Amino acid sequence: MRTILLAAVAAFSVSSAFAQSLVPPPAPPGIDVPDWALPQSATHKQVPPPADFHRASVTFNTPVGQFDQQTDVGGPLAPGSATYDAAAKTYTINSAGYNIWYQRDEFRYLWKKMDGDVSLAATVNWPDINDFHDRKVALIIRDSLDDGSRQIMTAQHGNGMVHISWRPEKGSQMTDVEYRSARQPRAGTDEKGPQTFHPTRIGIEKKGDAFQLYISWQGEPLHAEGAPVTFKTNGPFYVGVGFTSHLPANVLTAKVGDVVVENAAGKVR
Amino acid sequence: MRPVKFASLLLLAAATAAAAQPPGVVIPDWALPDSPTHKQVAPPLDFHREPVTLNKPIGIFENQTDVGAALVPGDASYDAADKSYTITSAGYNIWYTRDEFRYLWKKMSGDVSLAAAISWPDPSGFGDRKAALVIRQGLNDDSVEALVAQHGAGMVHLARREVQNTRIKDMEYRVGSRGGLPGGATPDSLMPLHASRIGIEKKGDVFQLWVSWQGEKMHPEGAPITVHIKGPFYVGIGFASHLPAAVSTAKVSDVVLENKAGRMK
Repeated sequence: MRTILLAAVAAFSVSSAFAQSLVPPPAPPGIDVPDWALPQSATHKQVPPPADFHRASVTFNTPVGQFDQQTDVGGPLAPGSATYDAAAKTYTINSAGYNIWYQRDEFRYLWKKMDGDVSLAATVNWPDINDFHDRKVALIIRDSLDDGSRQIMTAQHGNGMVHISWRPEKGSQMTDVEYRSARQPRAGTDEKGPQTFHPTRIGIEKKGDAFQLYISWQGEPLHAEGAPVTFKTNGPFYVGVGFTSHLPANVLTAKVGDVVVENAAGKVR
Repeated sequence: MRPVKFASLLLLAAATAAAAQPPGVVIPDWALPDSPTHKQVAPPLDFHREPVTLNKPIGIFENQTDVGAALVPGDASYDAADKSYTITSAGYNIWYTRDEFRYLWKKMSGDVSLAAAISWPDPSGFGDRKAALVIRQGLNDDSVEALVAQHGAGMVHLARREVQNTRIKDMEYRVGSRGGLPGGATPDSLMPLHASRIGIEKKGDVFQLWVSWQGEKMHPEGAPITVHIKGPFYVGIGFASHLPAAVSTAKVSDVVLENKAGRMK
């Protein structure tokens, strides 16, 4: 019942681009944040982590919902957590983490191991739409739990942007294709600037070496978006849902509903 | 009356300067596009220009019209060998309460599937120029209409004017890549991606945008919209340079036009 309501709200979800917080909040007291880990802002130019920088991932033997275990990939400066509401079929994921980008990642990852083909899809909801705009929920397939692992994923950002992105080699830079939707402000209203459409649902399908992004922007049937990306997995891999605040030491929250995770292609829905 | 002699001069100007004002053509201030030195505004509500229709069939279309009679006339040609239309047009915009563009059209009633691939002979031209698949009630500049347009900078939108002489509304899609397309200054530069193909489907009063971004199967994108357009109406392809007195050119290929819904390809 509640999930249906959430989906209905998401189908018409529009927010002002300027409602999204473009200003990163200050780090909590007592945590030393390296300069390279700060996001882009009016006063700071975002850069990649130093080439040799890594942090060990921290794995928790706590199954949650459809997933076997949880890991703080890249050991963010504040630990993450996650819960599952079986009645609402919704995960609540709390995580800090500088980003899932460049040559290494920091995020809370709920995962299981698989081999073969995969269908993965979910509905993303933001408890506070005004949180930092670049935070992202990602549906991720990766070789290992290392912060620089090879991986391919689709992510929905707080500002509505959806991308399919991939790290083709361990420790290499990521590449993506990004999709944004908005409408112009309505005449005779106090809307200012473009009004962002937040997608209804996102998905990713693995069929052999072909990975396909799926999107429903406004409740239309989930459809393939853009060309499939070729990516080879190395034997059994990790499959799951992740979240990063895009803030090195500040924990934010995402809700991820109606997760489809199947060990077959053609099941994205 | 209309300064045909400036057309070739304007072709040169279009690629370089949006604001270059040709001699002898008086451009109203409201018709200028957004730029660092000018804030784009709507035309005055009572401003209109009569359409100029040519009695010139082209390809699958019955006729051509300079909707809103841009300050310099448009032109179009059809290449039967590769089934492509080359459309040259000025025109301040297809937006706000009225439009200016070259329109290649036929009359229809009932449902429609209309799709095409858009390309730009000059890829460095003005980013806001747009090639559009347009279904309109009339040829008047402020007509009720539903359209899908692909812009020079890559943006695709589904736009509609629900009531005559009122402001258009839209839903916009922008796609780009960091690291996956050539030309970026750094691996992190966002480079625009241009759609492979766009389409508009009319089923009763319901209009759906269809897109293929990278050669994937054409698919509906976003929610359908409702606009009441009664038959017979105009269906066709159009182009506006988004510059009031400077022409630019778009190529529209592989046009599918069927008098039925569900024929998008």
